[in-house]
Amino acid sequence: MKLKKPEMTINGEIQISYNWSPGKAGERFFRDLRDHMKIMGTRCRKCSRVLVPPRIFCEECFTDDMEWVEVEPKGTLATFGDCYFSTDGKRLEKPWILGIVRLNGSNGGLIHYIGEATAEELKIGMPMEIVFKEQREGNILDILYFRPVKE
Amino acid sequence: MARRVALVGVGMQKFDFRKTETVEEMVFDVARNALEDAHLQKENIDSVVFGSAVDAFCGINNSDKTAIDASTGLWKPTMRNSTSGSTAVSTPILGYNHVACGLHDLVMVICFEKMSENASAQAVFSTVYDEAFVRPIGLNVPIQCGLEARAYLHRYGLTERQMAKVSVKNRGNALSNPYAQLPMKLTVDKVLESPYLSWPVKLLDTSPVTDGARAVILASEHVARELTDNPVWIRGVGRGADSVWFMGRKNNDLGRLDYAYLAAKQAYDMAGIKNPAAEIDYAEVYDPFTYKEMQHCEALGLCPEGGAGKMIDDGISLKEGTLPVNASGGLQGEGNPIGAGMSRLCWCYLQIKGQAGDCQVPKDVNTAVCNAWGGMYQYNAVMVVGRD
Amino acid sequence: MTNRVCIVGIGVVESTENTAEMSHKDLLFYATRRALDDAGLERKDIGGAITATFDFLEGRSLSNQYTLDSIGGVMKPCDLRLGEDGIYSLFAGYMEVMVDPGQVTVVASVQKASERDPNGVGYQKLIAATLEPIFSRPVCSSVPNPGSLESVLAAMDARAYLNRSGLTEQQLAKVAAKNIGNVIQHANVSVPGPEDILKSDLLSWPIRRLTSAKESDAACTLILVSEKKARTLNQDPVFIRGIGWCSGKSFLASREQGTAKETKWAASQAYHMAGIRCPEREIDFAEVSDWYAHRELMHCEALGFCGANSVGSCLDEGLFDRTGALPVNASGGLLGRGNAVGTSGLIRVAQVARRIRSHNNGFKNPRAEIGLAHSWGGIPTATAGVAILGKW
Repeated sequence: MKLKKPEMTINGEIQISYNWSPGKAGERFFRDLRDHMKIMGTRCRKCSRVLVPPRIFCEECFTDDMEWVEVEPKGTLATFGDCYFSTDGKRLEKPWILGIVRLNGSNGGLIHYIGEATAEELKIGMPMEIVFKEQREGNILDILYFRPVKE
Repeated sequence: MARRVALVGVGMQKFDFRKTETVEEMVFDVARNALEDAHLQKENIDSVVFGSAVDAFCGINNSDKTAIDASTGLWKPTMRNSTSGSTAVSTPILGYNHVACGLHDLVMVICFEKMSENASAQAVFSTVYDEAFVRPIGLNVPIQCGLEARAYLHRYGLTERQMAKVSVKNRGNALSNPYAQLPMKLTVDKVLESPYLSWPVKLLDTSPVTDGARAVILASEHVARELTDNPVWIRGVGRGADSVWFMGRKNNDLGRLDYAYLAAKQAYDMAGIKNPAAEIDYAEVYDPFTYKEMQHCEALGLCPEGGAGKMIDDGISLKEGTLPVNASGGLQGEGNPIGAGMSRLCWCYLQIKGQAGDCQVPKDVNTAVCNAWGGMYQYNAVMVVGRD
Repeated sequence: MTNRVCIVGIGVVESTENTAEMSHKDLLFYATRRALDDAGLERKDIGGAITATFDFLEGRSLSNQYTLDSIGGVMKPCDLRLGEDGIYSLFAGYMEVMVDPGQVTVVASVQKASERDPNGVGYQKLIAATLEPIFSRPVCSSVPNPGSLESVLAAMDARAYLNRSGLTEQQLAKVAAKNIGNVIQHANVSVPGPEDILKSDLLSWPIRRLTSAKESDAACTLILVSEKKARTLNQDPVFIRGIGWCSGKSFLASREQGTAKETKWAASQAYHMAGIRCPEREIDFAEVSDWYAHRELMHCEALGFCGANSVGSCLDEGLFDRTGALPVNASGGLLGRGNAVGTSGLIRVAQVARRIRSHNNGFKNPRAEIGLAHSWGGIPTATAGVAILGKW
C-alpha cells in the first residue's frame, strides 16, 4: 500500500544542543583515558564486580562503596554488526563494524568500532584489544577502535 | 476496591542550577536515600514508577531508561509518566494505583529533571507548543504566564503587590531548607522592582531552572504497618485536565482553573474532607510563578475563590500562619526541576512526620495537601496525605 | 474474583487507510470514535484517559498532552500520560479500573511515522538519542553511515542470538515469510517464500530488508471497564487475565547479548497472575514482537512457547503457523503489517482481543480462548510488556 503524499505540511525539527556532564564516574574515567591511556573501572567492595563503564554505585548491591581499579585494555568480543552501505545507498568497499567488547576481569562492556579486521575474520568470543587515539580529548572517541589481538 | 496506600519513605537531595552527576547518578542518590529513610533494601521494591516531564531537557529519549539500574527497578516492572509540571504529583498517583489495585506492595516513585545541560530551557519549552498553530508564533512560557496572570488578576481584582508577597514568603522560607537552590531574604519592594518578563510577571515572581530528583516509597497497608506504627496515608488523589487548546476553553477565562477545582474535588471527596480551609493543616502548593500559588490556594479551597490576595495579606499562609503554605520554600525557593517538584509531596510527608527540620511549622500537622500543575496550562494533580 | 477488568471497545486505524491526510490528533480521534462505537459508549461515559507516546518520536515535547482532546479526556477525573510503549497504557488502565471499578477508562496510543524524517535517517538519530550520551552515544552517532545504525545494532543482537542458539539465516527467513504470508493470505498476490526473503537487501548480516519491520502510521484505542460494568453493555467482553512488564539493564553494552530476559520476566509475572503454568499448552495463540525476524524466535523462547524443544524445531515443524498448535503473529505481525513504533504494542493487544471475540474476519480458530500479546521496546532499550487475554 503506497501512502499518498499529503499536499500540505508544516515543517520543522527539534534542534537543541547539549553540554552533558560526564558524571562523577565518567569524569574520572575520561581523565585517565585522556591523560594516561588507562581504562578505569569501579569495583564494588561488596560483590567484587568491576564495572566498565564505571559507575559510582553497584546496581546489584545498591551501594556506593566502590573503589577505582585499572582494567586491562583487552577483552572478548561479545557480538558485532557490519554495515555495507553508505548513506546514499552505495555499496561500501570496506564495510564498517560496530562491536561490544567485554574487558577482561570486568562486568559490563563497551560498544565501539572494530578496526583492522573484516567481518569474516571476526568471531564472537575472540580476544580484542583497544587502539587509542593519539590526540585525546577526554571522551569515548579517545578510543579509536577495538582490534583482534595479534598472535 | 482500592487498597489503602501509605508513604513510608522519601529520598531527598540538594537542588542546584547545575549538577555534575548524570541522570543515572542523581536517580541513584535519591533512590538510596529513600531506601535508607524507609529502612528497606533494593530487593524489597516490587516496581518503579518514573516521572520526568520533558526528555528534551536532558536530551535523552526515554531518559528514565538510562537510569533503570540506579532506580532499584532492574529486572522489575518500571513505568514512566510525563505530564509536564504536574508530573510531580500525577506520578505518585500512578504509583498509588500500582499499590491500590493490588498488583504491588512496595513501589519506588522517582521523579527527576536535568535542565542545565541544554542550550536554553526556553528553547526546550518552545517544543511543547502545537507546531501548526502556536509554535511558529514564538509563544514562550513567560508570555503565556503573562496572559494567564493578567486574566487572573483582572478577574478577581488582585494585585502585583500580593503576588510579590508570595515570592518574599517562599524564598524566605527556603532559608531554612538545606536542599534549597534559591533561598533569599527579600522585600516586597525588591520583588516589585525586578524586571518584567511579561506583565504582571516579574523575574522574582518566577522559579529557577534546576537539576534535581526526589523519590518516595509507597506501601500497601499490611507492609506499611510492619514498617511503622503510625503510617502516613494517601487519603485522596485527584486529577483533572482541560482542553489543550488553551485559547478556547469552555469557560473562556484563563483566569479560572476549572480543571484544578475538578482535581481538588476528587481528592477531597475521596479523603472525606468537606471544608479544606479548616481541615487541612498544611499545604505544599505548586508555585512556579507567584500567581500560580494564589490560583492553586483558591482551587484547593484553602481560601475562598478570589481570596488568595487576602490570604497572603493576612499572613495565613506564612510559616507561622494558621494554614502554612510552602514552608519548604516551594518551587520559588527550593528550585523547580519540573518533574522533581514531587518535592511538594515529600515536604507534606516530612511535616506530618515532624521531620521537616528548620522548615517544621509551629503547629500539629495531621492532614496535608499538595498539588502540581502542567500540561499545556491545563492539568492539575492533587494529593491529600495524612494520619488516620 | 469479583473485580476483573475487560476490554469492551476496540478501535484501530492502520496505514492501510490513508493516514497521510490525517494529523496524529485525527488518527487518534478515529480510533477512539471506533472504540466508543464498538462498546456502545459515548464521550460522556468516559471517566479516565491514558495515552502512551514518545516525545522524540513525535517531534514534540509533552507529546501526549495533544492527544487528550482526541480521546475524549477533557475535564475527566483521570488522566495519565506515559512515556512508554502503547501496551503500558493497558497496564495503567487496568490499574485505574481495579482502583475505581465504576470507571470507563480509555487507553490509547498513536504514532505517525510518516511525519518524521523525509530523508530516512530520523529514526536512526532517535536511536542514537536514546543511548546515554556519555559512553555509547558518541560512538553510535558518529558512525560513517547514520542511516544504518538501527540495522547494525539489530545485527549485533541477532548475531549473538544465532551464535548462542545455532539458528540459521534460513530460519529467520522462514519467520518473515510466515508473517508476510499471513497478511496477504486472502489477497490475490503471490506469497514470498523464504528464498525470496533471502534475496532482499542485506542491511547488516543477518538483518535484511524483509527480516526487519517497516515503520508505519497507526492509532489504537481500547476501552476498559470492570466486569460488572461490562455486563451492562451489549458486547462480548474480553478479560485481561494477566499483565507483566519489565526493564533490563540501562547500558546497551552491559547487557547479556542475544537474550530476551526482560520478556521472560514480564511473562512470568503475567503467567503467575493468569494462573498459567504451562504456556505452550495453555496459550492458544500469540501476537509477539517480530520487529526483526530473530526477535520473534527469541521472544517465543522467552515466553516459554517451545517447552523442552528448541525454538528452531518448533518453527520448522510449523507450530507457529496459522494452522499450527500455537499460531504466532497470525495477524501478520510487525513484519507483515508494519511497525508503528510505540503504538504497535497496543495494537497487538487489540488483535488478540479481536481474535478472541472472533470478529477478525476469516481468522476463526476453533481454540482461540486464551491469547497473549507481547511488546518489546526495541533497540536500544530493554523493556517488554506482556498481556494475557481470555474469553472469560
